[in-house]
Amino acid sequence: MERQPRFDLNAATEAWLDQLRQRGTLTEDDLRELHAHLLDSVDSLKTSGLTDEEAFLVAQHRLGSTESLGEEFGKIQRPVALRREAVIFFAGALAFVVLKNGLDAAGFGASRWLVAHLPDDRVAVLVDFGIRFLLFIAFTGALAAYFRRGERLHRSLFAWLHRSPAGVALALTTLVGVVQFLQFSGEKSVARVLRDLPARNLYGIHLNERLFAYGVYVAWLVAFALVAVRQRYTGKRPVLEWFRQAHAVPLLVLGWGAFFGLFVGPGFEVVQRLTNVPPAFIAPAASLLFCLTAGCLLAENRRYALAGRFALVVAPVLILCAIDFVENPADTLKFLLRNITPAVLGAALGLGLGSWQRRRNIATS
Amino acid sequence: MNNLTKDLVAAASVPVVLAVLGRGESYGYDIIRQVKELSGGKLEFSEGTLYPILRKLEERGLVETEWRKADNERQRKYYRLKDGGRATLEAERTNWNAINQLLQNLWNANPALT
Repeated sequence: MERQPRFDLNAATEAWLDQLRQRGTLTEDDLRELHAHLLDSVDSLKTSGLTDEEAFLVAQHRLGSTESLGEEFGKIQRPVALRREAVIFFAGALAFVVLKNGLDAAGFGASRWLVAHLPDDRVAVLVDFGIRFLLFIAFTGALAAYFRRGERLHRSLFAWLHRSPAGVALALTTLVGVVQFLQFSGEKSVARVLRDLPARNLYGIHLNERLFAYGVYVAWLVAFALVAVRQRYTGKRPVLEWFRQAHAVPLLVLGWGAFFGLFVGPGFEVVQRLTNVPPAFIAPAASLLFCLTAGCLLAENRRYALAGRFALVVAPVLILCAIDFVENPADTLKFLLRNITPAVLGAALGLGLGSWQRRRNIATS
Repeated sequence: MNNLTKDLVAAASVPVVLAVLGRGESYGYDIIRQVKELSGGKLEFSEGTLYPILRKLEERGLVETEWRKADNERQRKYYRLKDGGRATLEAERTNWNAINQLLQNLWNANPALT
């Protein structure tokens, strides 16, 4: 009898299940049920005379592409998915602490050596900038490469968490503790060196440090948002879809991070250094721009009513006002007036613009 | 005969699934088969439509599920109506009958349109 390479139904279904698993939106129970479904379909096709391979291909085709199945299952709101999201947010926050402090520690080490060995101030600052730049590229490049294979990251993280939650907690805490200590001692030693050399003009090193700290912040925010978003939405425009369905807690974390990290922190500093605009105008402009952007993104969130979306958009500005009140109760009224008014204005404008844009899209399509 | 529109299928999907389960417990593959057969092939749910609906019904407490071995030694997830599911099915029946009655009245009053 002629020998042909035999079709292995088990291997084929396993490969198909693995593809589905990689979408990240199906639970093991969903996969088991779809597996049973596929086999029922294969059985029924085989009774009409198809071979294993033909039956498998037809059954698989009828079930639809793994992309569309993953997308449909991704629309289900599940408590399990939320818990996974929380874990990812937590892991992301820890990764940020480790990355930022690790970079700081390395940067401080370099700065200290440079200050001690390079007599020329400008050269020292410039070389310090170069070293920090390389470190930044290396760290974020590695992070980006890791996140690009996001599914593997999810699977290994959750497998590890499932196997030994105590081990994960211990390892992460140790890592955070070690880099925190390195960062702390690095900062101290650089401060000591700079204090011992009052004659030298090394302010540039401070600037370098701030600049790259913000760079890490932004890179982390982007990478982390992509992972959190891809975890749940595998459709064509996952980021927009995420904003449409997201819960208040991740939205607040993201909003606070973006407002404080981008608009208030580096935005403020850059504008203040490059222009002569008085700080009294920069802060309201930051609130206005932030609320405008956030309003546009949140305009179509299906989970919350208009009042809820509005509250979410202005919340980061309110939190900043609250912190300001604790630190400096005397100035609060001025600060409140300066920030709340543009925030309310920006939020209203953004929410209006966002829904108008969407209505126009529907009208033209 | 035209195919049923997407909107109509979406609106009918919950009552149809509840009604199929009202005839007795069943599993995903069998629900799709029954719907196709009973609609004369006009209505065919895709898996990506059916399973999310079943999850929703389960979450709302209208159906209960159980993994059980079928005759062919294979595990299947069976769905069964709970009391809440029966009540919802009854409410759906009343509503759809009302719509049906309304359309019948409208069309019978003006036979030229049919």
